Amino acid sequence: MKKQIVHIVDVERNGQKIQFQIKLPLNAEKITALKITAIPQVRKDDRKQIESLPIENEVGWLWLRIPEKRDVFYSESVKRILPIYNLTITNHKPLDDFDHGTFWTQGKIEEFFSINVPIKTNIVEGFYIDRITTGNQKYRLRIYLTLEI
Amino acid sequence: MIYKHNIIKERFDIKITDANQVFKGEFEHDKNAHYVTGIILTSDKDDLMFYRGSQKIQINDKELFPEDFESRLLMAGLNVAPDNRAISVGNLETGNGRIEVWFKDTDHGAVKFTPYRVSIYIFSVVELCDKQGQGA
Repeated sequence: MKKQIVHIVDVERNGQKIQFQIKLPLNAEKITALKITAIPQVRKDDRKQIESLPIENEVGWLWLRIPEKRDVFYSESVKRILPIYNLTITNHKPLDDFDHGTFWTQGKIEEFFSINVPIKTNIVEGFYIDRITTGNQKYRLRIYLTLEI
Repeated sequence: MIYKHNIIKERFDIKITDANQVFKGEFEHDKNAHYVTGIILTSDKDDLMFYRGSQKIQINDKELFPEDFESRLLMAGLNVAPDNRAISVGNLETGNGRIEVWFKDTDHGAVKFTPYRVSIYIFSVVELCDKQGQGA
């Protein structure tokens, strides 16, 4: 049987380093998939610059580890993703937009990252470093874990 | 063979009228729908749901998506091929036919609140054909 859990980390300021623990259900046997998301606010004056960059922009770095039994099993440079509705609009622009850094995108449904992590304890430790350098933005980092029970 | 006309397509709406509130919707499947195969969320204001929305969804009293699961992960834009838009949920038995949705609106700096509609599309089938049964 599969179960999904969501852990939310509130990021309060730029450059913040956060250590946190994710408590898993006691009967969880392994982590089979995960996904990390963060959508910080884009300040209006930054927006134009960010949207001219190709699709992604770094938000922070994340490490997940299982204490004692196994060290870091997953790390990611979390990216800011431009909203789907913007991509849709981009998609309807004429083809010659290729030259300006926009893409003729074939979108797809967001997928979880497949992973196989057997769990011996019911705790996952996380460490997150915010990498947004301009503005002071509060946002939520969400960690989705799919567990086998 | 899986034919499109065998798929029952249902739409349920929740109106989000206040910011930072949880809205619960309780719906019932078509009586002929026995297995849920896919689900997708849309809205009349995509950007509000994209930034502000998260939800918990239960079907037949079983948790399909947990609390705080972002709505944007269940959305698909026009740039997704129409046949690939719904999120596949395996072949989930509809059982008592109850669908419960708790939709949570949360403040986000990128968009200001205005009332919006959340539509939940659920695709289900009457019975599993061989091909679907093997894939389950």
